[in-house]
Formats: sequence, structure tokens, C-alpha cells
Amino acid sequence: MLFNSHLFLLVFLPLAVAFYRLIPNRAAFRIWYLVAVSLVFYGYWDVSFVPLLVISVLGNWGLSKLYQANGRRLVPATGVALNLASLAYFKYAAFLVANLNLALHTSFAVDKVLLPLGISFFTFHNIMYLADLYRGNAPIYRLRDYALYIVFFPQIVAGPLVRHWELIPQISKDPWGKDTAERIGRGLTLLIIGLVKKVLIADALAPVVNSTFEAVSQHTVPGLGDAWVAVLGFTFQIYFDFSGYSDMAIGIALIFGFVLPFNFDTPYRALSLRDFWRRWHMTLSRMLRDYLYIPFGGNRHGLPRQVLALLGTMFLGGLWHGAAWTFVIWGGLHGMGLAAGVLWRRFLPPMPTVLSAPLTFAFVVFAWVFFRSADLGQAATMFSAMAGAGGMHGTRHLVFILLAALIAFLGPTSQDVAMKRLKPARWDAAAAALVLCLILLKLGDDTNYEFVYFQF
Amino acid sequence: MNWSHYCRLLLIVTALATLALYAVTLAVDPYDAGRFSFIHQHGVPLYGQRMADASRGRDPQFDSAVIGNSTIQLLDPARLDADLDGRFVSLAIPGTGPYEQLAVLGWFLRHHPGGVGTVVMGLDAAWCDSPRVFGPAGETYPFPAWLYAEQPWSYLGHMFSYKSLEAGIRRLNVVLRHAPAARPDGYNDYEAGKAYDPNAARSRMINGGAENDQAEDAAPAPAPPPGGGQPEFAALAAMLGGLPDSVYVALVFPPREASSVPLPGSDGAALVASCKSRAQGLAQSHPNIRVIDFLKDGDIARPDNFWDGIHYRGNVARQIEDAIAQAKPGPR
Repeated sequence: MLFNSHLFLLVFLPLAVAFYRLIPNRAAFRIWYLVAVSLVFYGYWDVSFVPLLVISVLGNWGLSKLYQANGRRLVPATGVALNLASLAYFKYAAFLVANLNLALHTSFAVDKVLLPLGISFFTFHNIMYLADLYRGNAPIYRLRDYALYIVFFPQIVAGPLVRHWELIPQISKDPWGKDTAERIGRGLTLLIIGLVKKVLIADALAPVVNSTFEAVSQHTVPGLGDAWVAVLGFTFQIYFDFSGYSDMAIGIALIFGFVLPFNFDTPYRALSLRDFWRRWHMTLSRMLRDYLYIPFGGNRHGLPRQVLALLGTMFLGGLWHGAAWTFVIWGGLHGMGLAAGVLWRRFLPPMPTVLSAPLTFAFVVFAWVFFRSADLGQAATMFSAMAGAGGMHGTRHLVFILLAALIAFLGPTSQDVAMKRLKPARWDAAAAALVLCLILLKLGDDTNYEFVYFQF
Repeated sequence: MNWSHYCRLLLIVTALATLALYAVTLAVDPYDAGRFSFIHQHGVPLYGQRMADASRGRDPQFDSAVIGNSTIQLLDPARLDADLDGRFVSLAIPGTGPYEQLAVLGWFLRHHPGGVGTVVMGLDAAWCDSPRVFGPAGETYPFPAWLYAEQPWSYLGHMFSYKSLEAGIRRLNVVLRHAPAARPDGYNDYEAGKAYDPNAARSRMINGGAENDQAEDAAPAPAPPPGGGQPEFAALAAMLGGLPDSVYVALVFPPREASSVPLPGSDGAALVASCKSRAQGLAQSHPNIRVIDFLKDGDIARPDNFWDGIHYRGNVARQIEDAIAQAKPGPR
């Protein structure tokens, strides 16, 4: 079920919290309870994927126990391979076969497999753990602890990508202490901030963006204004959508007593592309750094190796978002941009901020065109429209885009508001309540959009 | 104030504000559906027919209705009033088929338990020769079936929304006379303010409305839906069957421009024929149901009687109104 739905906000979450409080306050009860609640949450989308998730938990935990018993590093290595294989089957089989057919002029057929929701995220949780196990950096966990790490419902569908050592030590802590009210108050507020980003900003931008990209898919070349509005609209839509989702996930986890890592830090204020990736989808960046970039050589084996490591990391990072050349190019562009930044810093004087910040933003916006387009032809049409090939018309919704830009550039981060600035004041509570009330009513309208990141 | 108070206040204010706004929405009755209303005055803002016809369909000042697609909306309620001695409301909704129209008919009949004068139903291509699913999946445009439903549950769900709250505010403005109300009798004269241009009209017709009407042959008639149009006629029969004999029901087959009339012997003609025979069957089963058939080639189908292939002009509408009046069964 979606966080931004009546079912979740008015039924699931209140019941889940109420029973969490009512069950005996012992770690085993609490943990198994949250595992069960998470499976209900996940199974509500499609119950047929629950067995896959359960097998994934049992299989990966079983491998860790096997490794504990025999100490052979082949075990976690095999585990990583198996996880990658399952991801490849569900996510990339059709893409691989289609490109193979194209290259070899063959006509292999592959049945379209339905992508289990969140597979990119929970498979990566498993892989990160097994990789740490392989390196000797991870303990063997109890089944219930590991199960909750993988299935914990706030994070299972679209992250944030949490490291086992960040979450699992929190699992056995008693959530009902003297700071409980503060935690719930801040978590609730963060959830509301996330809902505002999603429901009031991202979902309002969605039709503006969709209509132009839809027209492009029908081979219409939009006017210059419409094209820029759509591309900038998507730039802010995906930010508010995904960071809103992350805020909700972190806020909900906080209500249950868990601190998840933050995922966004005003990314469009970045001064360089390197800076951007320290602010955008931060938990993915960290994961890419620790499990791809550094193993590829990182910056410790000379410049050529570093450039290759960046290109390889971002190529795979792009592919992780989806089985399509548009994502590969998006990742590849970011890889090249990051490499260019490394070379610039090595050989040229520092770029002044007034130049580097807008340049970074422009680069990110251009790359989003590939990310949003269904195929390369659409992206090409969009670029030509942005250059004026479809005429100059179209300034609708420009004010709205500027407003979203203002919030994205100048606004404080959600975590800053909810975790630091927020004080338990009467007017703050009343304001948050009225916003929540507005959102509940908004969610009754017929147009609820799914989160952009659910497709990855 | 501590955090515990903060949480409590947040939740209590949310609950109270949400419930209050919900209650206000229900009481203001944005669509004048009369379900939980505190306002007794009839009428809604300038909504489209889909949203406005719940109000019109239950307005006690009317006892007779015109129901159908845009192909029946040029019938003038005021003229029908005079011809048939009734008080007519037009509940015709453009872009609808049997599923939507029967929901409106059911609504109108349920809200006039005291007596219905006349019901005029337009049975056009959406009933006869365009295969449609009889149900929500067959809607060309989204239709608020929840507004016309017999049970209030779906309505209650839809009232808990920002859109309904907004609509409620609009309605309040109408009630307080700060905004204009929609026309009570629902008449929507699509000719109003337009000059008729025969060339422009012909350009909207199959084959330019040319004399030879071979164009129809080019496209084979679509396959009839599963059940062959049965469910909608069964539903119509069930609704009409419950009416007292005093209610006059006119089943009108609206005219089409000649090039849109299926050629004799074509698949399309067979579909229309079976549609007409179903209507005749209904008429035979009930003393006061009449079939008014304008769907034929001949003088009525001349291109200059039409704005396009299916939307006729005022003079044709007058003929249909007269025919409905003449076919009215006499007192027995």
C-alpha cells in the first residue's frame, strides 16, 4: 500500500502503532510483530511476491549460518552471485535478450516477468550484508534481526538503503522510554513534511510533466517553453517525489523507534557533480562508493584507474535504475561528468562557485532528460524541442515551476526542520495538523500518483 | 508544552479539523444529491451535466425527463412541456452510453416515487452499433456512478476529498447568490450562437455527406459486444417494467445523416435492426411504451439537416418533439 493513501494513514499506520504499544514489551515479540506487519504491508501490493521475499530472507540468513559453520568465503561470494542472478532474472532478462537478439540477429523469446516491488532495494540489502561478511566486517545475526533488517516496511520498497550495522543494533532496544514522545512527534512531523512534498508538490507537477512527455511519445515536438517546463518540472518532481518518500520512510521508522539514514540534502544547491552525489540519494551514493568504486580501485591507484572506476561505478549505478539504455546513458553521463571533475581539480584552477553551481544544475537537468524518456528517440526529440525545433510557444505552469525551484534551492532540509528546528510548540502542532488535514482531503481526490522510484 | 502534548495536540486537531470539514462538505451537499443535506434549496453551480444531473434528476418541479446522449439533447424541455402537458427536465449527457444513462434513469425514477409523467429515452449508436461494455469499463469519459448510486457508501467515500470540499464551497456561493446556478431544466441548445455553414457541416460528415453512401461499406461494422447488447436492454426492461401504466415512455431512435445510416444488407444494418426489434419487444410488453424511429434514409437524413453525421438541427428536433407528442397513447 502507498504511504500516501487513506488506507495507510488512517488504518494501517494507527493500528500498527497501537498494537506495537499493546504487545508484550519484549524484543522477540516486538521484532516478530514488525516482521509480520511488514509482510502484510508488502503483501498488500501483490501477495504472490511474499514467498520470494521470505525465501530471500531465509536463503541469505541460511548462507550466513553456513558461513559461520564452515568459514569458507565461497559461501558469501556465492550468495552475492545468487542475489545478482535473481536481480538479473527479474529485472534484466528481457533487456539482455532483446539486445542479444539485436546484436546477433537472433529471435530468442523471453517471457515477460513481473518485477517484484522493491527488489532492487531488498536485494541490495542482502548483497551489502554478504559482501561485508565476505570481508569479515559483519557478525552473524539472529534470524529475527536479519528478517526485520530486510523486510522493515518503511524502507523495503524504495529505501533508504540502510546498512545492517546501522539498523540491526537498534532492533533490540526498548522503544518505550522517556524520549518516546519526542521521537514520535518528530517522526510524525517528518512524515507530514514528506506528504507535503509528495502530494502537494510532486503530484501537482506530474500532469504538467506527463502531458509533454506523452505528446513526445506520440511523435509531437513540443514548443520550447513546454519542453523546458516539462524538463524542469521533472527535475523538481523527481526530487520532491523521492525525497518526500524518503522523509516519510524515515519519519515512520522513527515512530517505531528506528533511526534511518537521511537520503537528501538540498541536492540542487550542489557546487559540483561530486557534491551533487553527496546530496542526492545519499544512501545509494554511499553504497556505490563502498561496494563498487572502492573495490574498483577508487582514488588510490592513480588517475587512469580512478577515472575508470568512476565510469564503471556510474554505468552500473545507471543500470541499477532500470533495464534500458536511457538509464545506462544517464549513469554514463554522470560518470563522465564526475571524471571530468576529477581531471579539472587535478589540472586546472578551482572554478568559481557562481559558475560551478549553475553548471552542475544544468548538467543534472540535461541528464534527467534521458532518465525520464522512454527511449533514446524520445530523448532526442525532447532535446530538439528544448532547442526550439517545435517553435517557441508554451509558458504555462512556469510560475509553479519557479515556486518549486524556490523551495528546492532555498528551503531548509526536512531533517533540519523536523530533527533540529522543531520545538514542541502549540502553534507548530496546530499548523502540522491543518496541513495533514489538507493532505488527507487531497488524498481523497481521484488522482494519486505512485512514487517515481517504485519502478526501479 | 512538552512532546507528549505536541503529539496529542497534533492528532486531536487533525481529527477534529478533518471531521469538521467532512461534516461541512456533507451538509453543504456539493452536488445537491439530497443525501445528508442541510440545504433545502435546489440547484448547483455551472457544473457539466455529469455532475449537475443528480440535482436536476431529483428536482420536484419536474415530472418528466429526456435521457440519452448528445443526440437527444436538442429536444427542448419547454416545447415538450407544452406538447405533452408535462414538466420536462433534460438529463441528456454527451459522451455517454447505456450504462451511464440507465444510472441517470434509475436516479430520476427513484426520486419521483409520487408520479412520473413521461420518459424520453434516446437510443443511439451507443445502444445499437458501437460495441461497449455495459459497465464502468465502457465509459468513454469518467462518469460519477457513485453520485447516482442507490446506496450511499461510495458517495460517502467521495465526499471525503478536497475536490468535494471545493465543490461544496462553489455550491454555497450559489445558494448565497454570489455565483450563477446551472440551468434547472438542463436544456443545452448546441445551436445557440452558432451560424449554420453547410460546407463546414459536410466536412464533418462521412464522405463529405455525398449522395452516394458507399463509405459505410469501407469499414466493416464492429462486432457486437458479448451478449449482443442484451444486458442494457434487460436492465432497461427491468426499470420500465416497474412503472405504472400511466407513465408514457418514448424510445427514440435519433436520425443520422444519410452517409451515417447503415446500408441495407450491411452488418451495421443488421445491428441496428436487432436493436430496433428489442425496442419493439419492449413496446409490445408494456401498453404505454412507444418506439419513435427516425433512424432511416430519406428526407430526414439530408445533409443540410445536420451539423455532422449524428447531430441534427433545430427543425429536426421540432419534428421529433412533435412525433413524440403524436405517439402519446390516448386515455383509455
